[in-house]
Amino acid sequence: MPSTSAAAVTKRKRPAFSPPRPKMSKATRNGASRPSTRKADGRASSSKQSKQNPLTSSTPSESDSTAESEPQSASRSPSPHSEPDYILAEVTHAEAAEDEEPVVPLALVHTLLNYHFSDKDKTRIAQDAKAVIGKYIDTFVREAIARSAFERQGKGAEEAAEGLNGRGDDGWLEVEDLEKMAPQLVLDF
Amino acid sequence: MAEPSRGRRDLDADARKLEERLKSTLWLHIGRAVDTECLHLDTSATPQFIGSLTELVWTQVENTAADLESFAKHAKRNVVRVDDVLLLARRNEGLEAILRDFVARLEAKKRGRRRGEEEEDGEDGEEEVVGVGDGKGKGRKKG
Repeated sequence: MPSTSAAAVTKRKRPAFSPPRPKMSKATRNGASRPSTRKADGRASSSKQSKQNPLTSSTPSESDSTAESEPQSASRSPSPHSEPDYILAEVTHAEAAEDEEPVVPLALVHTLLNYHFSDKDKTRIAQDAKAVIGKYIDTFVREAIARSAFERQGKGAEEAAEGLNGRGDDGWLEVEDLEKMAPQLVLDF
Repeated sequence: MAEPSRGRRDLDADARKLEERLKSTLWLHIGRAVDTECLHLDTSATPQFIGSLTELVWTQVENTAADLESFAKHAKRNVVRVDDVLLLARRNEGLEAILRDFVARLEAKKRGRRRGEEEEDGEDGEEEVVGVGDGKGKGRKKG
């Protein structure tokens, strides 16, 4: 397995999820105020830099829809520099969960997992593992919200371009947005 | 022999009630998360959005639980360990990096706490070796 995994790393690139940053006034301010919390990786800082240039801000929804309609990854490839090293939620405000309570408290994580285990009596979870699962769910939820916001934003831009002012629901995340990005999200997690 | 069937129906009802309660608890927390995130992202979400997201997370946790159990079983264990969880992220480098970072910080915190206790205890000469310890995952980052 190790040899294949190494090969896989080189041959299969994670599909670039490189949305234009949502008008990041708040998020960047947050990120800038606590820049050093994300230690031990130059990747985070590099992704922060890449966030400065507006990547594909003009036609986010368009590029999205093409990527969906044609399965070739070619449509995604023209973004050599735009692939963030971290997935979106972590890029936008990486400092979020330093000592903060996770989205789903660990007790609930435990209960939920135990509820779903097929061998409830035998299977147990190590304390550390529980924390990491908490982080996993945390990331999942944040990513879901961030991607939905991105969908919504793209749609808003589209509607504005077409001259019709939507349904007047500026910026409310809806089920529709969730539905659009859910398949890719679940594939990514 | 109506007894067993009635008993089963009760059991079903109980199970459904439990599931409902778990889901509503999850809903509550997801809702909170959505609120905070929306503040960050300068937007807001409909209640339906929160409900669907809850459903999505529920399903994801369901799959995760099955995966973790299988991973542990495959390693001939009954206990889910950190390694199993890291295996969840095997197909997403970004996610794996996040989780590994989290694990490293967890370990560091634990070590720090242990050291703090030692210092409180006084001058015991046993210096703990940092970086070589039980670095689950941290040491494997390069591999």
